[in-house]
Amino acid sequence: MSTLDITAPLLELNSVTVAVNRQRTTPLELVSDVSFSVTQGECLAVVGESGSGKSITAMAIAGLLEPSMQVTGSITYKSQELTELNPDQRRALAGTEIGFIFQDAMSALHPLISIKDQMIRPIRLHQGLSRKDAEQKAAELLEKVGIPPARNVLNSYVHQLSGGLRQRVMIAMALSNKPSLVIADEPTTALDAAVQGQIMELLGELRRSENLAMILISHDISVVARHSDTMAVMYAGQVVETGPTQGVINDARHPYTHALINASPERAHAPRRLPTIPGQVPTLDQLPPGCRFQPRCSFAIPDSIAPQGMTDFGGGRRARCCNPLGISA
Amino acid sequence: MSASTTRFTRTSKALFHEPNALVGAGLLLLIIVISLIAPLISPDPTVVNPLHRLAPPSLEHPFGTDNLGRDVFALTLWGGRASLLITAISTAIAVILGYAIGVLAGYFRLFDSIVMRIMDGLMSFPSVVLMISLVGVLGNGVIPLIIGMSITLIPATARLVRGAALSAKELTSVESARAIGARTPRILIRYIAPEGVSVVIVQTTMALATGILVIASLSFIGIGLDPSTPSWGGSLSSAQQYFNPAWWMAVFPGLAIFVTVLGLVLVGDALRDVLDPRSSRG
Amino acid sequence: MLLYALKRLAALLPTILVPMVLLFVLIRLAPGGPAGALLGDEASPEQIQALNNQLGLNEPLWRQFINFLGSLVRLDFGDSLFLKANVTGLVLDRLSVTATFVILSMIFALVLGLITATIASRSHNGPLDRILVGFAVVGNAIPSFWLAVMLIGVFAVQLRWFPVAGYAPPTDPIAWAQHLILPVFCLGVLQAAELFRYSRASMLDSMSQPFVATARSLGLSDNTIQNRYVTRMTLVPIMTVFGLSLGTLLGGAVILETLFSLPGLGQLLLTAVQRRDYPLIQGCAFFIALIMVIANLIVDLFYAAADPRIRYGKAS
Repeated sequence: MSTLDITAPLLELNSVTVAVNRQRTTPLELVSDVSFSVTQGECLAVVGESGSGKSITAMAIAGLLEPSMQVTGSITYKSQELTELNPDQRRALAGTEIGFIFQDAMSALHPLISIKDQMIRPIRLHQGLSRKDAEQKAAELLEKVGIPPARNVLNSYVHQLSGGLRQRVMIAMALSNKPSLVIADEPTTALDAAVQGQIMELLGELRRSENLAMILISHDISVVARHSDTMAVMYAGQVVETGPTQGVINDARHPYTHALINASPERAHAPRRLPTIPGQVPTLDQLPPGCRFQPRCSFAIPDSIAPQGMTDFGGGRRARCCNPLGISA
Repeated sequence: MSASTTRFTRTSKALFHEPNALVGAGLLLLIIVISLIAPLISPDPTVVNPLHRLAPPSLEHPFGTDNLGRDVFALTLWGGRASLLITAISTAIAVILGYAIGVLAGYFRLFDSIVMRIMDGLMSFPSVVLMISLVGVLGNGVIPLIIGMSITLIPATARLVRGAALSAKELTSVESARAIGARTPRILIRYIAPEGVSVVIVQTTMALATGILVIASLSFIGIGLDPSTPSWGGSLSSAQQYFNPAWWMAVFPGLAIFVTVLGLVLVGDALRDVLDPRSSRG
Repeated sequence: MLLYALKRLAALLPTILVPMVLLFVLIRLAPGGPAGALLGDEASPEQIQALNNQLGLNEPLWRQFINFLGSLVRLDFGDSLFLKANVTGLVLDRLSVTATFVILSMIFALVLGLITATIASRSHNGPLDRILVGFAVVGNAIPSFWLAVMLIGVFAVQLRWFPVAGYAPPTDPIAWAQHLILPVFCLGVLQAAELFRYSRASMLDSMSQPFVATARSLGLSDNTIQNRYVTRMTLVPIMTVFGLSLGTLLGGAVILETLFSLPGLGQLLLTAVQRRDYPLIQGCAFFIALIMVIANLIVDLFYAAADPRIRYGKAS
């Protein structure tokens, strides 16, 4: 794409809000005012606890949300406004521009259709290949994700494969139509610890060799620290901090980011007990006023009950906090 | 005791909010009341009146008369009495026996492997055919019908209760009761049997529906009940030849079967949704 | 696959054995003995003796049971008391009519049930869905013979589109079809109502499965996903329901055969029961059980073909 401005982000989210319609009451905001961007070849990690809205954000980018969920704000991909596309136009981008790797390959692959048939259908659809060429293509893709043809995976069904093989097949399928952006939603959560590392290595290699942009959804700080360039931390439907991964992890601005990093096993210095965050994540229909983290935050100040916007700290660092850490007053 | 009372109140409350359940219960109540008071509000359905054969519905005969001049309104009101009674008795027998078999099969593996094989064999045989064959061997009459019907209805109850008992056996409460030395009969009655109650309640409505349909089918082909006993199936069978012009002979007794079965199905589905949400079919 | 078929066959044997043993026992429990029950009070001792000899009832019970098991294996139930002909021959003469009737109804029920379920699940909670669900609830409560009486009344007696009853051999295809359309419709449409309920629930369930999201993320169209992925997933539970409903179907067929005067097994069974023709009752029951076993076996094989988890013996 020579016409594309290489400094412009590949994907940019600007104040994206996802709301679900409810009966007899106002729509519920699952994700509020989310902004971040990804450039070609970059890996952005989206971190947060379950229910923080990271998967909903990912589904919104990929156009996989239920019809009952409405997206407002702007999602631009290669200068194209995705929220304005009709379903057919969205579908044309699915797989060919944006690939999606699901968390649990066991349920994400069809149990009754052979791997081969599942792989060649989208290849033939988008590339117009003959059945034979598509099979050839599928075999090449499997080799690329580290599955030699001798394994005969193409003629298998998902229940016959190990967890690692399944996830490799899932990755091969997501990449089968050469997307520029891949969204990996907790790609290793369902796997054994030993296999997790291999899959993350594979994703890293593919990202470099194909110059892919990647959005890595994860709750595992150590995976994020090792594999991403930038990160966005989500809490209760909002992005609370974004910036280069190393900077955020070593010197968090938002107290929630700080607490989250300290609660991760590999980061904790105390040998016996992991620090925990007091209180519970608020449910989305009973959010506290102002900063959503404020009831649990030990750094809360009177200003915290006012609505919080993102503050820019320079160097790509932004956080949604009125009493940020690491800034001497 | 209080636990079962609250479950009962909770169930009835939930059912009260289910429009289908209310409609179903209303239909059932209607049929039961009509069958009970039929002798008080309608003429004798067996009275033959050759001068008033095949008379269309009128004030005197709201549902018209049949080929023998009998009042179709009276036949319809009386037609459920015998089949409802037989079905109710057979269902009671089948549910009690099926319940016992299911609990024992769920708990004792040897009993399970022998008796459930027999139950499976009976269950996969078409119930109408089983009933026809049994009545064919035992002869017509109320007692053969009750025996045949009970045998036909036992397996489904036994199978469902067995499933509930099997999962109850794995409950920690059963493990701990066994660990502190509770005797087997006590475990069966106190811990295993109550787990089958929901299943049995739902199954009872289904068994009643099957029973009504099977008895009606049998009387329709002239087997089982004495042909002189008013029955919906019997009335329908004589209606075949007279549809033109006497459509009323076919419409009203059929409607009565339909209303009864619909009531049972609606109540049964609602009960299943409330008591056993896992197996609900949406 | 062969091992699986043999295993299923063994599991299906009680379907034949249990009803047959039950009939064996009940025949011998009849008050006054089977011969007495058959011939009535006026029979002379000589007549009863002769009939007992013919039915083999004078031998010791264990011997009778051995003979009975032998008759099952040899498919020989002796002669019909009333029709004076070999039972197996009589049954086999009628088998093809019942088989045609049941198979056509099955196909009709499957096609109608699947199509309506697809329509309903795609317009979930829409007006079309609600109407179809309402039809299914109603259809579940309608007795097939009532529907048949009404349809005969309207379409055969009133409008004269179809013959009232009777059968024509398939050598005359037009007459054959005319005689079968009403019975097949009556039997199939009610079965379709049952299939519809399960298929719809199963399709709705499949539609929210993660593999649907995967297919969408790869850009497949909604039609492809529905037809290739969701329907495929639904086939297995539908097969199960279908297997379970075969009994209802066959039972309904027996009743409708007598109503439509189709010369099949049901009609023969009715004759047998009306005459208390024990050998004929046993023969009819046996072959109906055999049909159930074969039909179940076919369903099982389809099941295995549809689900690789069963095919490769990994299903729990």
